[in-house]
Amino acid sequence: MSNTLPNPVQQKNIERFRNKIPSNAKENIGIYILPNGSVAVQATSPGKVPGSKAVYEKQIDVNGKTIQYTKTTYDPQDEIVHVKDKINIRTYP
Amino acid sequence: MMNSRKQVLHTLVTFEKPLELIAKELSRFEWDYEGEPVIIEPIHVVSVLNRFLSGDFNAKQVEDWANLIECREDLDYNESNQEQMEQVIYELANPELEGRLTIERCNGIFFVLSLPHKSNQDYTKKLGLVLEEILSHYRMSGVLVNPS
Repeated sequence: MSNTLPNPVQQKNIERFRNKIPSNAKENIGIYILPNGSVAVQATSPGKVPGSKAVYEKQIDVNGKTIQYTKTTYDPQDEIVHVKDKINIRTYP
Repeated sequence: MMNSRKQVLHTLVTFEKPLELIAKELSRFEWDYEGEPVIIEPIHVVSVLNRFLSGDFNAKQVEDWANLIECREDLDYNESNQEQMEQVIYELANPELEGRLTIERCNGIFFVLSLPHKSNQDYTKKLGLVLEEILSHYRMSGVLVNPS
């Protein structure tokens, strides 16, 4: 298994991620390989309020299972408004 | 008895129970899902917004509802209105980005969801019934007046 590219089951999960994120985030996707073989995939959705944005991030383990999914919302000053945990259904702060 | 994933998802899209209960039930299921999805239809959004307009829900509850729906792999839209529905759920789930929920925004969403979609007779029939009910309600409450 390559440690520089997502493996096939991770790729499949990334494709599901891509299908479900907002349309204005589909062109702003970054994929990062984590040290344990997991993958983090991030997509940024710019808001209508100038400077605001939401970053959708999914972490996928080496077996292709989603282990974390968050949406982080930033205000125009680039300060975090809140982080929404999609899996555990919690909002921080 | 535990409800199935589809039963819980139906409760979610129709907002039939308090969100805390729905969230607790949803958390029993894994995020990853490749089976047959439950479809969110315009009628679900229209119903929730009507309950917001009538004071049953506040803007935060609608935002939280849309956030439970947004990005879920076990929910989907009909192809005929996918673009509009995706955009509406995104707007409702992200008031910091798109602006807070107001009567004017509800009006805009109703307009978007009323636009002609790809041919879908069932959808058109359902929308007609919803609109008839809404118009009837407002006519009775005196909000709508005849042009004469």
